[in-house]
Amino acid sequence: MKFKAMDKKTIPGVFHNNTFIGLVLIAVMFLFGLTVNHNFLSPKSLENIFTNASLLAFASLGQTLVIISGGVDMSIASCISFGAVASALIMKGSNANIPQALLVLVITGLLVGVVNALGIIYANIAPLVMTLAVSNVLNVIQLIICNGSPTGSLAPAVGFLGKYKLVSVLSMITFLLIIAAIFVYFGLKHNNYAKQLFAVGNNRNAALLAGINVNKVIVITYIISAILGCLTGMLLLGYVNFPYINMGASYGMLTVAAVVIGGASFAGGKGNFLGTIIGSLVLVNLSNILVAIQLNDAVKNVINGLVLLMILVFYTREKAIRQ
Amino acid sequence: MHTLMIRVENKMKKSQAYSAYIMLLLLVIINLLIQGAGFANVSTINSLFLVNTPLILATIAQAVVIFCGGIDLSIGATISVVNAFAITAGQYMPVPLAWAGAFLIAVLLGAVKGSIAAYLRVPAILATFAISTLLEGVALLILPNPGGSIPSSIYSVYGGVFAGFIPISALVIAVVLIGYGIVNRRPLGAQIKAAGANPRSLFIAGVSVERTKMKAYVASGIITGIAGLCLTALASSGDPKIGNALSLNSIAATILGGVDLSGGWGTVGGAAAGALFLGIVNNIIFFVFNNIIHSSTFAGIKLSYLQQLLTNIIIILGLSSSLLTHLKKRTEKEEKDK
Repeated sequence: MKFKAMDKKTIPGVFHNNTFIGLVLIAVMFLFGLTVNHNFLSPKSLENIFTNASLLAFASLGQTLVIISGGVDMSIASCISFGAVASALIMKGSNANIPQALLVLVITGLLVGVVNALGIIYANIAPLVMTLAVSNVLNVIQLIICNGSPTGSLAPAVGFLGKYKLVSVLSMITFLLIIAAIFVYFGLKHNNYAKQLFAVGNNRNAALLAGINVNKVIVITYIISAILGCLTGMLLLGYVNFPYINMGASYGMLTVAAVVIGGASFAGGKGNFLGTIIGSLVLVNLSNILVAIQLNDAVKNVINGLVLLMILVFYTREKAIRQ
Repeated sequence: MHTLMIRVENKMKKSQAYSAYIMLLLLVIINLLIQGAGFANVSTINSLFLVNTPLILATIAQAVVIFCGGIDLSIGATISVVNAFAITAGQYMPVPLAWAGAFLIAVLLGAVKGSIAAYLRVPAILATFAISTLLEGVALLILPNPGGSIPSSIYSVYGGVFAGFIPISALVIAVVLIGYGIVNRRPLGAQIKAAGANPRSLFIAGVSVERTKMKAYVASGIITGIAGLCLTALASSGDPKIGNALSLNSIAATILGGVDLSGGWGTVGGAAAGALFLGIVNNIIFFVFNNIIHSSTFAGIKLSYLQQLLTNIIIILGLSSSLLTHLKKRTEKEEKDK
């Protein structure tokens, strides 16, 4: 009982609000970033932070839904990598090829989502393990379609989405995210699927007894997650300008961390997209600070792992047996 | 002779890893059909064990954790750290000391994982996933680039043959299996499985669930350390990413070996059989690709990619074989109910 201080009743309520904690963290990081680098809050740097956070938030949107349903999707990273490489290969720098690229991405997302869900539902494999295994397969497929070295280039329209700046700190990607956030906010409130999703995440048996087709909800959730991952890959390509192998690899962990910082529960049934956006901002800030103090990839890996571990210790502890 | 076979068969049928043994037997027969009798000579068997010992040991380590209701996604990264440390430290101190240090690190990491999963009660799958990211970074810090070497005597011992026909690597596996077999006969073996199957009952029986889980994680750490040293002896060099794939492979192999992921069900022997199954499947794929298809590409695809793809798909199929375990578990329960 050493951790009694963590008990809900002993801490004022506002500290249990993840949005509040997230905002405080962002403020602290801004201040810390300023001390490290005087240009940390310049419009150019802010625009960079917002755009990167928006990309992460797009990738994490599907993860939010999956975690609300009580699972976790580790195949998003490979979907992003595949999406970027495949769309560059298909678009070949021409706007006329965008529909085909979109079609391929959606079909791939559909397949990945269905395979994930089938393994989880029928073979009873833990979601984390199943989606990791599927992501390995998709990574190899990514290598196969481009034979090891990505070719092709992005269409001008995708480049416009990825790089155009509306106002000094507001890029097109951030603008798209704001629209998506408004859409998701109202969608998650007044939508049959959303209600069923939360019910499934809260208590699967109760949802089943209430007549919800639980398996259908889970399949749809994983499909949405995979398709969004593939489309984020296209957007990332627009932002980065050229494809390379395993482009989205770093997003895998970050999406999970963003969702959990945003206040979702790994047990399911809890979470919202606004929190995920704030979580994305926190993580992008953190990685920008790590870049500002010039750490190499290995140290970044260590710090990412430590941060995730800390988040887990704070948010996902199970009850003791004697309780 | 006949009665003996029936007795062996009955004993196997009782085993929780029955499906794993049968699958392994079928695969060996298939392999003999494809590769001919040449497969069954000492050097082929030796190289089969040589290559697969790290996976088999990692799978046994994984199985011990899964028995107690946990899971370890960081076994691969731990093995990478062991490898990186043994190679890097071997340049500055006597090699035996460096290897002992690498082994101790694995045991210590087992204790860390155990304390986070058991005492802090963070879900093991998430905690070890975070630890795996952390350790991948640590391995890169210790050894930024692949390289280094080991004294050739270590490799020749590890790759050697005992008494003319028993591979040394198989002996290592046997020692680990017997070691855990002894643990399994003692109360601790039952307690570890109870911690996975029904922790509440274990608690009511007056045994500390946390301490039991901790012991399981430390035992797993010890076996992981041996696996890491075996992999180092096999590779004869260092690579900070050398073991990373073993995490998922060991889980797939554990499930293939008839161990239930929800804990409390299965045997380490079954787990080893599952890992050997995966090893032989890879062996067959390798054989087919190298001896039957005589070009470096197939339908315009590089063979190495195709091989990776097949291996990964087989892992998914292996994961799906948990259906068999559930079937076996149910029939056994029905028999008991009668």
